[in-house]
Amino acid sequence: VNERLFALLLLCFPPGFRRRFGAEMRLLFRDQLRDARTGRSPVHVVRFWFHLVPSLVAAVLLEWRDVVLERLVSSPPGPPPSNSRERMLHSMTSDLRLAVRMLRKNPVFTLIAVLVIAIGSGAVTTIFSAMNAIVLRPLPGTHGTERLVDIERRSADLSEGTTASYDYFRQLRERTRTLDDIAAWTKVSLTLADRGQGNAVYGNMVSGNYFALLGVRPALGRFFAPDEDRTPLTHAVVVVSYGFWQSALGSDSGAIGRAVTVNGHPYTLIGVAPTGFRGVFSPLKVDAWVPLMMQQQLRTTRDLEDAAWLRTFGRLAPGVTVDQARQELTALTVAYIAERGERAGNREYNTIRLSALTGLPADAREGFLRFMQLLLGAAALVLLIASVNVASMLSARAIARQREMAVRVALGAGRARLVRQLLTETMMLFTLGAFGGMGVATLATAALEQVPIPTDAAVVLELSPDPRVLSFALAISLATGLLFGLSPALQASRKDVTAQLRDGSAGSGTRRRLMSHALIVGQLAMSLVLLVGAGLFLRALQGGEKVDPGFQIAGVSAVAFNTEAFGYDSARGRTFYRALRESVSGIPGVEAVSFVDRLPLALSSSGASIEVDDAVSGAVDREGRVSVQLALVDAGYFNVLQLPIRSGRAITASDNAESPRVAVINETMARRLWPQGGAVGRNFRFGPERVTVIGVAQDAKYDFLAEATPSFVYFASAQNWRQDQWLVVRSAGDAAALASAIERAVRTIDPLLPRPVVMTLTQTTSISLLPQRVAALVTGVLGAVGLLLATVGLYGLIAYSANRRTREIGIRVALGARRSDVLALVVREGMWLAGLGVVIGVVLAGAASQLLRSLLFDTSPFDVPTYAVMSLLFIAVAMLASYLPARRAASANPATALRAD
Amino acid sequence: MPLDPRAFLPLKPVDLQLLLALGEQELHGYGLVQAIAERTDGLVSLDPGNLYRVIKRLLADGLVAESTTRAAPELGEERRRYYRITPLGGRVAGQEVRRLQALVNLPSVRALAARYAP
Repeated sequence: VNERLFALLLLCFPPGFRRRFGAEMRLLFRDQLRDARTGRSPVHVVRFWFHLVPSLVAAVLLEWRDVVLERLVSSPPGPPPSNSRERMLHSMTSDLRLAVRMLRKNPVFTLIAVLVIAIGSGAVTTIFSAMNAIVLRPLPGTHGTERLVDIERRSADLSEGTTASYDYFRQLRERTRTLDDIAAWTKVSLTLADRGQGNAVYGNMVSGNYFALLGVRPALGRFFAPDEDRTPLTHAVVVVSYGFWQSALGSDSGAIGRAVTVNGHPYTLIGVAPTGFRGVFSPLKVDAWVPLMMQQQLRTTRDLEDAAWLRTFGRLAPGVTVDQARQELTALTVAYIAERGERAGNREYNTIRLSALTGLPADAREGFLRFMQLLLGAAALVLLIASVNVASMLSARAIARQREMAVRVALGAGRARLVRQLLTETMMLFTLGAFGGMGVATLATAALEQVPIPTDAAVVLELSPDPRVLSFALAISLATGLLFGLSPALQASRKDVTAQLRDGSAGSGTRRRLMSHALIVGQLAMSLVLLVGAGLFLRALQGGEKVDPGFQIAGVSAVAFNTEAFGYDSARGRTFYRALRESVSGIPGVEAVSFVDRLPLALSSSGASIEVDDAVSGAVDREGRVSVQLALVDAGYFNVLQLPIRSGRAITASDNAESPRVAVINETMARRLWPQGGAVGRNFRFGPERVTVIGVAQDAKYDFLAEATPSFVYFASAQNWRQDQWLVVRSAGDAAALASAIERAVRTIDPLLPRPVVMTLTQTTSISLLPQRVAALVTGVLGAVGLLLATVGLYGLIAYSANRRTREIGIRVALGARRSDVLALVVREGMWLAGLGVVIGVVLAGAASQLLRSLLFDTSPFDVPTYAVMSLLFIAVAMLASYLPARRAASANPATALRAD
Repeated sequence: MPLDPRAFLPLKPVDLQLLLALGEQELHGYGLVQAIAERTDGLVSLDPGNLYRVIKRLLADGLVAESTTRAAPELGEERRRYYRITPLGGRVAGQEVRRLQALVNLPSVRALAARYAP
C-alpha cells in the first residue's frame, strides 16, 4: 500500500524529472520506509509520511515551476517573454513559500484541517476509485483500446439482446467497412491438467485476432497465429493467464511448448498472458484461452454453425464515428436476417448497440453505475461536511489573524494580494488533504477488495487508485478548496483597517455568528441524511433476511459440475451424474439429492416463451404465447428445497428421455393461465414439444428477493439434458463434513477430476442481498464519519461561544446563578442548533431516500422507526457535544471569569 | 573548460554536505542520505523529494556526475545509480570549506561564538 501510494505521488512530477529520477526515488523510498518500520510501531510509518509528503509536494511544485520558467526563457521566437507573466510566477512562488511557512507554524491546525479534508476527499475518492477500476479505466493488460466497441445484437427497442452465431460473426467481419476488425469470444469451463489431477478454470474460447485487437502482448511465448483460426480441430493450443502460470506451473519459464491436457485432450501450452490481463469482462478471472476452432472438442453441445453463443467486439476504423458504425452494422444485420430467413425465438434482433469496451457488459454497467452514483452521492455529503468544517476552522482563524492582515494592509499590501495569499494557504491545505484522501482511498479499497463475494465463479476485485483517480481527487479537493476558502479569505482581508487596529478585539458581528451557526446546522443536517440512509439500508437488510423465499435455505449444499469440461461426451456425463447421485445419497445424514441447472436466488434467471391454447384470454398474447422463467430439475428437487407441491405430483425418476414431456408450474402461473382451476393435466407447447403439466408447486422467490413473482416452469432435466448442472443436497449433518464426503465421492468416480467447490445455499443466496449489504456498510461508515465531523464542529462552536461568554457567566454566577442554570444556558444553545439540524435533516433525508426506493424492498423510504431512532441518536450525540463545554464553563471560578477580558 | 569555482559560492549547506560526502566515496541515493545524516547528527535529513532536486541541480552545474562503476550486482543493486564528485565539484567544495574556515577564524566571529556558548 505504501509503495502504491508513493508511485502515485511520483506521477505528479514533471515527466522529464520522473523519467530521470523516478526509479531511484522509489528505491530510496523503499529503503527509508524499511528504516522507519524496523521493530517499531506503525506510528513511525505515519510520522515518516508526515515528513515526506510536504517535502514531496513542495518538490513537485518547484519542479513544475522550473519547467514553466524554462519554457518561458527558451521561447525566443514570438514576442519576448512578458514581464508580467514572469513576475506573476515569481510572486506565486513567494506565495507558496509563505503558505508553507504559515502551515508549518501552526502544525496542529494544519494537521487537523488536512485530516478532516483527507477523510472527506478519501470517501469520495474511494467510491470513485471503485467505479474507475470496474467500468471506467481500460481493461488491465490491454493497449490502445480507446476505439474498441462492444457489439451487441438487440431487439428494435433494445430491451432484449442475443449473442452472435459464428456464421453471423463471420459475415459481419467480412462485410463491415466501418470497423477495422471484429473479434469473437465466449466463456467455457475448462479442466486444465499439467499432470495428474486437473484444475477447474474459467476459460475463454476466442477468435484468432482477439489478443491483437485488445493490444495484449504475451508475457511469455506467443498468442494464436492466423492459421490457428481457420480450420476446425487442427490446432490444439492453449494460452494461460499469468496468475495460473505462477500458481499452477510454478512460474516455470520452460512451460512454453509443454504438453498439457485440456478437458482430457492433449494440448500444447504456447503462451502466457501478461500480468493483470483477465479477458474482456475483467471482474471474472479468466485463466485460459483456447482457439474458437477447437469448439467441437471443448464445447460439444455447441456448434460453429449453431445459434447464437458468441460475444463480439471490434475496432472503429480511423475517422469513423460510433454512430456511423452502428448504422452500418444494423444494416448488415437486417440484410443477414433477410438472407437467412433467420428468426431467433419470437423476436427479431435487428438492431446493434455499441458501447465502450470496459470491465462490465453494458446492462450490468448501467445498473452498477446507478448504484455507485448513490454511494458517490453519500460520499459527497461527507466531503461537503468536511469542507464546511474546514471552512469554519478557516473562518475562526481569519478572526484571529485580523490584526495581522490589518497591519499588512497598513503597510501597503493590496487586498487582492492578501486574498491570493490566503487562498494559496487554503489550496495548499486542500492539496495536502487530497493526498491524504488518496491514502485513505488506497487503504479503503484494499479493505473493500477483501469483502467476500459469494459466487462459484472466481471473481477478482481490483479497485486500487490509478492516475485518473489521483487527478480526480486533486480536482475535487481544489474545487472544494476554492469554494470554501474564498469566503474566509475575503472575510479576513476586509478593509476597515483603522477600526481593526484600534479596538484590536476579535470581531463579533452578528452576521458572522449567524454564518457559523448556519454552517454547523448544515453539517448536522447532512450527517443526519447519511445516518437515515444507513438506517434504511439496515432495515432493508433486516427485512430482506425475513422475506420468506418459499423454500428452506438452511441445510442445503450445492456444487457446480460441468461434465463437458471433464472431456466427457453426453453418455459418459449421464453415467457420471447417476453415479454421483448414488454415492452422495449414501453419505450419512443426507436426506435428499437432486440436480438443477441454476440455483435459486443467485441473480441468474432464464426466460423463454411457451404457447398455450386454452388459457384464459388476456393471459397470453395474440399468438397464444406467454413468457415464463424456467429451471431444469431432476427427481427429488422439491424435497431438497422443501418446496411443497400444492396439487398433482413432483418430477420423478420415471420422467426420463423416453417418457412423455412433463412440467411442474408454480401457483402464480396456474392462477394466471387457468384461473378456473384444474391446471394439472393441461398441455402447452415449448418449442416443438408438447408438454403436460403434472403438478403445481407453491410460489417461491426465484431470481432475487424483491422480484414480483413470475410465471415459473420446472422442466425435467432428464428430458432436457445439459452437461452443466448443480448438485443440490439436503443434509441433517455438518456442512463441512458433507463437503469432504462429496469430494471423496467425486474422486472415487474419477480421480483425475478437479476438486469440487462445495458451497452452502446460505452462501450462494447471500449474493441476492449483496447490494444492500454493501450499501449499508458504506453508508454506515460514511454516516458515522459525517456525524463525528459534525459533532466535533458543534463542540468547537459551543466551546468557543461559551468561552466568549466567560465574563457573562462569571457575572451570572456571582449574582447567584446555580451551576445547573449555567449548564442549561450553554447546552440550550447547542440543542437549538441540533434541533434545527434535525428538522432540516429529516426533510432532506425524506427527499434523498426517494432515490433509494428500488433498493429497499418493502421498507418505506419514510420508515418512521428509522427516522426516530436516528434523530434520537443524533440528539444524544449533540447533547454530549454541548454538555462538555458547558460543564467547563459552569465550573469556572467566578472570580477568574470576571477578570477575563 | 576551467570554470571559476568561486562563481558557485557560497554553497547551500545541503549542497556542501552532499559534495563532502561524495568526496569520500561514491554513493547511491540511500547511502548519501545516511552519510549526510551521520555527518550532521541528523540535522540535515533528506528524503526522495528534496534529495533528487539537489542532485539534479548539482548534475546540471557539473559538480557531481553519475558514476560508471556499478557496485555489487550480486547484491541485487544493479538498478541503483552511484554518484561521484567531479574535479570541478571538488574544487568548489574546497573553496567553500576554505571560505568557511576563514569565516570561523575571524576574531569577531570567535568572540561572538564564545559569548553565546551554551
